[in-house]
Amino acid sequence: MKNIRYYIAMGVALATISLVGCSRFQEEDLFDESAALRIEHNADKLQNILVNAPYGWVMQYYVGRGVSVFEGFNLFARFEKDGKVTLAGNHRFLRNGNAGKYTEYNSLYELIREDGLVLAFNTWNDVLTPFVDPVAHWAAPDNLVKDGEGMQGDQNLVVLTMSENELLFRGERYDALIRMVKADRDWQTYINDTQAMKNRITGEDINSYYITTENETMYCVGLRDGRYRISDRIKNPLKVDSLSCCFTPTGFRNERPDTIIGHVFQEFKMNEEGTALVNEDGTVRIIATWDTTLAESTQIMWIDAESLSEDLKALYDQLNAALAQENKSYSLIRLGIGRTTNANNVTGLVMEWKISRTKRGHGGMELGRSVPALGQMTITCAPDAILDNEMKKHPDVVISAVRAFGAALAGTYQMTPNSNFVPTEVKFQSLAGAKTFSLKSEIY
Amino acid sequence: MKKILYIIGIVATVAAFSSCRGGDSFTESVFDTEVPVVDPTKATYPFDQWLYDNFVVPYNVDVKYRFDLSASDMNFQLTPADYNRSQLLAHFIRYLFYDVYTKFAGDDFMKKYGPRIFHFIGSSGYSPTTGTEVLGTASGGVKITLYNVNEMKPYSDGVTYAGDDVSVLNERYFHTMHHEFSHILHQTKSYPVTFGQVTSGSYDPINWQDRDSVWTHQNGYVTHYASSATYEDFVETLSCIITDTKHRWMNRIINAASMGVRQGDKEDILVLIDSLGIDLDAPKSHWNNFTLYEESEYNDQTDEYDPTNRYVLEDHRLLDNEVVNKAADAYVKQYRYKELRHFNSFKDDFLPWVKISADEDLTGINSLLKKLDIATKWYTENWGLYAFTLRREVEKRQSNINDYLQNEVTIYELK
Repeated sequence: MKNIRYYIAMGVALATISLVGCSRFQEEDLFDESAALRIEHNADKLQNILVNAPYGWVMQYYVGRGVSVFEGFNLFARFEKDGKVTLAGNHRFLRNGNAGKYTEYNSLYELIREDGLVLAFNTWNDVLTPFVDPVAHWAAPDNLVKDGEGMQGDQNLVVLTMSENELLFRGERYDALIRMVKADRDWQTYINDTQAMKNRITGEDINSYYITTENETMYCVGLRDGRYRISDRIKNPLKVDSLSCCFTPTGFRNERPDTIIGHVFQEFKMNEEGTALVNEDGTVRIIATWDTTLAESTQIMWIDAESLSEDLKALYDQLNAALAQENKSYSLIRLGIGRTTNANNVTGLVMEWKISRTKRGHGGMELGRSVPALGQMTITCAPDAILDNEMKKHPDVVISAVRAFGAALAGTYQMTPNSNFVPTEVKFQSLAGAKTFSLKSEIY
Repeated sequence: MKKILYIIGIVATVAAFSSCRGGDSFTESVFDTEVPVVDPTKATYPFDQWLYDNFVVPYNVDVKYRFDLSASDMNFQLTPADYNRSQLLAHFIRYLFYDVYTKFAGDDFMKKYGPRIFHFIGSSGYSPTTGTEVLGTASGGVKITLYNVNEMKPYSDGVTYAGDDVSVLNERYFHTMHHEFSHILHQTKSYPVTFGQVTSGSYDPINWQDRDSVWTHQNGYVTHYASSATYEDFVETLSCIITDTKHRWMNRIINAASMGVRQGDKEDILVLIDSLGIDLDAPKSHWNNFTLYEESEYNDQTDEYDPTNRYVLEDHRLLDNEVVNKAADAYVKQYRYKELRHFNSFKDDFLPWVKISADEDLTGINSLLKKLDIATKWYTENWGLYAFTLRREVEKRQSNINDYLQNEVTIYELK
């Protein structure tokens, strides 16, 4: 009997101890807090991050899903504790006659606790909401086409990651990745600096680029319009992939990361030397296809007479002498490469000569140009190269001198530009000999 | 030893149950009960306080002027409402909706049957496949969603609302609100089956938007949307009584009656016009100076125009559609119109001219009158409300809208 009592008492004690152990929740959780509490604390944290930004935030905003139809947009945001947000931008979809003009607009924001934390811009804002408005993308207020989806922009942004200086969101409906970085300068300065960088790396003639790694070269066949288009070749590409991008004061950044031969890239910044845009780890470089552009350009770049190697300089002087022989008041002003501006213009060697104190002549002879390899140019000059009408008016002595100079210019050169994007001076060094010369965008 | 073990067991048991019971004695809530209902630190505090005083306290209504994606229709791409326009719309809802019903149905009516939530949406709900746009929805008698708020004429000091502005308000917002509220009412007390039987053969929930106003009226509907389903017809009928302009009603009546009426309809038309508060002798009114046209439609098989057997008003004649001709080498006008007759008076010229017919297939004004009768009786018998009385009150308030704006409305800017 006593044994029975003993075992009962022991059993009760053990059961009780085990129950007490369960009730204390002493096991280690992966998270310190419940999901509800975590999201609440995250909201508080995000709120503090948002409002503690002296210059506000730069918002790299994208619309749509899949193939990019639109560029990325640099918007600016300043959040107040009281729920007000000021958004600013100068994008082309601003309404009320403000397209392209810097505009600020106040509205409301809210941090919504859904499945995750959501930053919601939940009253109309002239800067942001046109991207969401269900009208066609080109729609202006007076000419709406209500196609039901508009530009597929989002006003509810699901928080993906957050830190003091960078916030990453996903559009709740269309999944675009939207990034906010703490602004390090006032908004107008940021706009000006970004525009300056854009002008430096893109232009009327500059809109294609080499994307190089150690072993591979790909091509970017568009950037100027805010859509980075990567391709297997510059002309007649078999495939073009398009990513929306935002220009920055230091380069540009794509909406999403991409890879080339295993190298990941998303943001490109101008390197310290100013010679190339490089990705985050320096393994991918971008420079413009300035060589191709130069070979195809019709803009005249002028030959710097001081840069001519001896053989070319001798022919240059002969040409000058031939002009004087034609007419003693004539002299050679400059030679260039590009397209003549005469009625039956030719593309090739361009000559300007002095006729009188106030009058100058302008004529040319056809030359061929091609790019056999990156940074190289081959110049060809046929024995019977076409002359334009102005050139034809010269006597044989001058024409022979022009043809001699053109023939001497023929050859393949290694080019060295003063910029890998929009060069204003390019040095030519013959691969086969000692011939050298330089082209400048402006001379005299 | 055994006693010790007994004691250990008992002590452990007591301790365990004690720990389970806890022992806290709370003296106050863990929540800060001193926090006011409306947060004074918010940028929207003045407007939020106004909403609290004018909607939450008297009617327990939540006016959601902030866009709530999870509470919106995900079939549509939608934008938030503009903050200032939301304030204006909230005032109008109070002045032209709540106060009107409260005046005639008593203080408790809107508390009991009014929606619990208003949700404002900036854009319309566009459907690219059908080309339609949703202006409002009612959900389960609880929530009314109003779209297209951003197309409202904005208000600031000195701005006045002209007649056309009020018409737009009626058409885009108040017609929608009364429409949606009528849904709530008939979802509470069902309407007679006989209503849907009047024009039972011609409802079309799919292609209603392709019907023009002449077809709509000549087939006994107040609007083309009314021809989509009986319940939409029912609430459209009530909403048109309360909010449609005199001009629209007279166009509707002329269209619906022009092809003929039944015996007794002419007298009922005059009663309807009187109930709508329309002065038939009003000078310069379009219903005493209008023309009817015979319509014919291009036939691309014969290259000729065939009569459509419809008489139409000038408004419709101005719709200028074009179609490809028989030879498929040019566009031609889809319709031609030949003047049938000009009328100098609705009462003394048009009504006597309208033929009285015994044709069973003739719907038009006869069906319209029947449905108006059923709907207004249901309104009175079930809710003690007279639709035409509500109409007059709404008209009166709309005519005073500029005084109301000037004296009662403050739009708070976000600064």
